[in-house]
Amino acid sequence: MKHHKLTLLLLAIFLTGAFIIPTNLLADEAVKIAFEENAKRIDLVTGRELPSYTAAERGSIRFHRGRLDDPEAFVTFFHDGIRKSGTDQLFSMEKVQPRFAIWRLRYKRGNKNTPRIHDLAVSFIPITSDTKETARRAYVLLSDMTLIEWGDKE
Amino acid sequence: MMNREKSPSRRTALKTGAAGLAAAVTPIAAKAAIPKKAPGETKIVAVMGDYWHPAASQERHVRQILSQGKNYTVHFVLASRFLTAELLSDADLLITARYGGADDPAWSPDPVISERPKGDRIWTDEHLDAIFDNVRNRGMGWMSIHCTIFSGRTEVEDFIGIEPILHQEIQPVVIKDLHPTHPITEGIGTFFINLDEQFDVQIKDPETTTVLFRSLAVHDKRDAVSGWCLDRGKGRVVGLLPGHYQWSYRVPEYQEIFWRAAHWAMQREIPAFKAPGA
Repeated sequence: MKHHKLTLLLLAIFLTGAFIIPTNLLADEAVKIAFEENAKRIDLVTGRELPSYTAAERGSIRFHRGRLDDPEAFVTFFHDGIRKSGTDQLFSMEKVQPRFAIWRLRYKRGNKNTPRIHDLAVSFIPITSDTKETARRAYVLLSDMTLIEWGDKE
Repeated sequence: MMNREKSPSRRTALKTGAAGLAAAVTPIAAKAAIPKKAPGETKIVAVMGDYWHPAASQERHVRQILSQGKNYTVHFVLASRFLTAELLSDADLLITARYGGADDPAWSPDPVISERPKGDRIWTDEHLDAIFDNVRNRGMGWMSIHCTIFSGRTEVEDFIGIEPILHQEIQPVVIKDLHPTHPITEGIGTFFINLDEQFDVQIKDPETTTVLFRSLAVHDKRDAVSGWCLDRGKGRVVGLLPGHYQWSYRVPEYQEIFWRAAHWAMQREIPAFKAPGA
């Protein structure tokens, strides 16, 4: 009986850990995001105001030039013509001149650029700040945001 | 039969002397001909032009502008391997208009080529060391023109005191808000450049940097910093962002700013300028 209780206790610890570890990992691996302080943060699909999320699930960032049902895993911008950069190449993007949709793209290989971004919206799977769990995909105006930071991780 | 491409004849060698022999044998021999400054000469070294920015017109106009100076010699570097510490060691002024891309078109010593060689890299560590040392410790002036802000080297951005912001589409640009009392811009009013890439910069240290003028892009309506200057050790740096096409260098007001900026960077009195025309 004593042995049975110990087994149940270990099982409970294991199951709790099984839930805790992935959510912690999720938070550690997250992409850092930041909204404009005065942004409305309206979800473009539901029309509801979103929390001021600070993290998104890695690999979930998608850009939208014109259609929300046509997500792109790259950002589109003007340099000497229309160019694209995959999110897997980017270290971060931070807003520089909002009026002109100019963001500073920093690449994982160390270079940078400050072009005008053509994407109008961005979507991502948010990670809630309290439970560290994922929420439903959010769609927001790119202009509502100030930072997306993937970091060095693949 | 003798291979004339690689081995000049004895007669040719005798006729042209040792320098001719060296030049005929290998292009690297050009290093031996690095121009030293003559007494009384003002030595200006320029590295300008690439695929995007027409070197031919930049050279023509920069020569037109600066040739007004008595005993001024402008040495244009045709391959970045020749932008050496030795070349800069007695230069009074360096003018750069190069982004981070390699020399394009690449220089070749051959008069006819069937294949263009690979262009030299610019903004190497050796380039940076030589430029920074000559500005900071010897007082060489540096004019950072147009795309130099996109050298791709953070060290250059820090040295010239800015964070670069990319241009948008090529468009007419109004040069405005010229500093009313700085010797580079004093008395020059608002003017217009037919077509240019309107870069922008964020000044890293407004306390030690003077904004010389701003610009307004006619299509975008972006208001941008377009000219600035600062001291670096014993030397001076002037940043001028107009200069994508030949149009910019043909504008009399910009020519005068260029002339004055060169003298300010060299810490000289600024002689009166006579616009050379296009």
